[in-house]
Amino acid sequence: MQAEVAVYLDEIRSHLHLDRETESRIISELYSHLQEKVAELQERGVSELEATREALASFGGARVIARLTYEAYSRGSWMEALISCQPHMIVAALFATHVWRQPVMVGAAFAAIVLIALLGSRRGTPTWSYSWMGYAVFPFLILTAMSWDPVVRTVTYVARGTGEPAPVWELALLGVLCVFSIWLVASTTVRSARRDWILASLMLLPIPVLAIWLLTVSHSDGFVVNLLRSFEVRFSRWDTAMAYFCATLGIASVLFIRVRQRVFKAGSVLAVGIVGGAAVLRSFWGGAGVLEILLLSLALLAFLTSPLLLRSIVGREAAARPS
Amino acid sequence: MADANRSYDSDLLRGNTDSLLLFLINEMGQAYGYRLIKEIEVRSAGYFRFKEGTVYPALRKLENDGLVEGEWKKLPNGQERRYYSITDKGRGLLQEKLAMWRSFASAMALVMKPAEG
Repeated sequence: MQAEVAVYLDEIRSHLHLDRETESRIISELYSHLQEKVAELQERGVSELEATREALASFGGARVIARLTYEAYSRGSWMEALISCQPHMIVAALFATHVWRQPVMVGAAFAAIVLIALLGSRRGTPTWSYSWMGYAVFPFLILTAMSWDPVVRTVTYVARGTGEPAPVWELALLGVLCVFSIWLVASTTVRSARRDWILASLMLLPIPVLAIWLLTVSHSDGFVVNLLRSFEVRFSRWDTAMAYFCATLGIASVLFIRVRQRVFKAGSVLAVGIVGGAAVLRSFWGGAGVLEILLLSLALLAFLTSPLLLRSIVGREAAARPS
Repeated sequence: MADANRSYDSDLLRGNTDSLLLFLINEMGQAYGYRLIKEIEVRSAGYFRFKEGTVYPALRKLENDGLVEGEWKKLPNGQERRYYSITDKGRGLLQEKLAMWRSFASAMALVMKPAEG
């Protein structure tokens, strides 16, 4: 009995995509039901094997039960939806008010975002925390982008013999920062994808556009650190597009929390990520043709659905846990 | 014959599962999933049969809507079981649904009774 029921319940668990604690409670309730049903059938003289099979057959298909259960549990409250959209709105406000050029304000905003993401992580990573986590990894990417100056100086010195190389400690620090940033993004994505690839996509949603924006503004005026200090007005031409994009991500995260069906959750993330992302990136580069937009959209689709592939490679949390 | 007796529109049952669960939980004081399914089966003389696993998502939706409250209780054998009880909001909704159902059923009976003469 135990083996068949365990396999059945594992299949349900593998399609629940909920947090570990909620999944355990659900499985415990279903297990208790099946156990009682089997015991009752056995009392009527049915063999254990037959009783188990009958109990499982009358319970319903594992995938159907998992889908119904997911839909019953996956809808968050309006409060959760509101919390989930806040990081998008904070970053949208940074762009809308052009405050992103003030390092203190940007630092304070991202410190708050990292803090709330950590708080969410300590509370079992509820669904609302994924949008915070997406922005929480960004300060480390910014730091990494800002720290390329010593590398460029050293490479120039080695290649051309001009200027001065960066001190070894500075290069070592940069190496540590790079490794840490990559590890942080990769481990957070893998951990999220193990639970649900759609949640990982929700987390990754702002990263491609923000990363390309960062590279674009860096490319336009050397290094970001100089850019942040310079208060160049000419970079504000992308602020409106970025503000609208981030606000749209906020709306997508509200939809994500409030809809029950997985197909609509995935649809809201992918539609906004791809269409919004392609539209805002087109405004950066200007004059992009249909083919470029198509390729860009495909690249965004590949990036946002990469957690699905990752999940199939690294497997799922439940598989590694005892039933 | 049994099949003919049990033939009904499954949407009709699905649309009324909440009412059935609320009614039974209200009447039983506290009830758990398996007990509710058995009760529905017994009271309907086996007429209502649905996949047993579907009762838990339905209970969760009632809980989300604040109509019932769930509580884990430890059994003497060490196992835990989740018991559901109705809330004031659930009781209010149940009264509304019962009144609606009675009016609907009597209107249906009035319309569908065989013509006299």
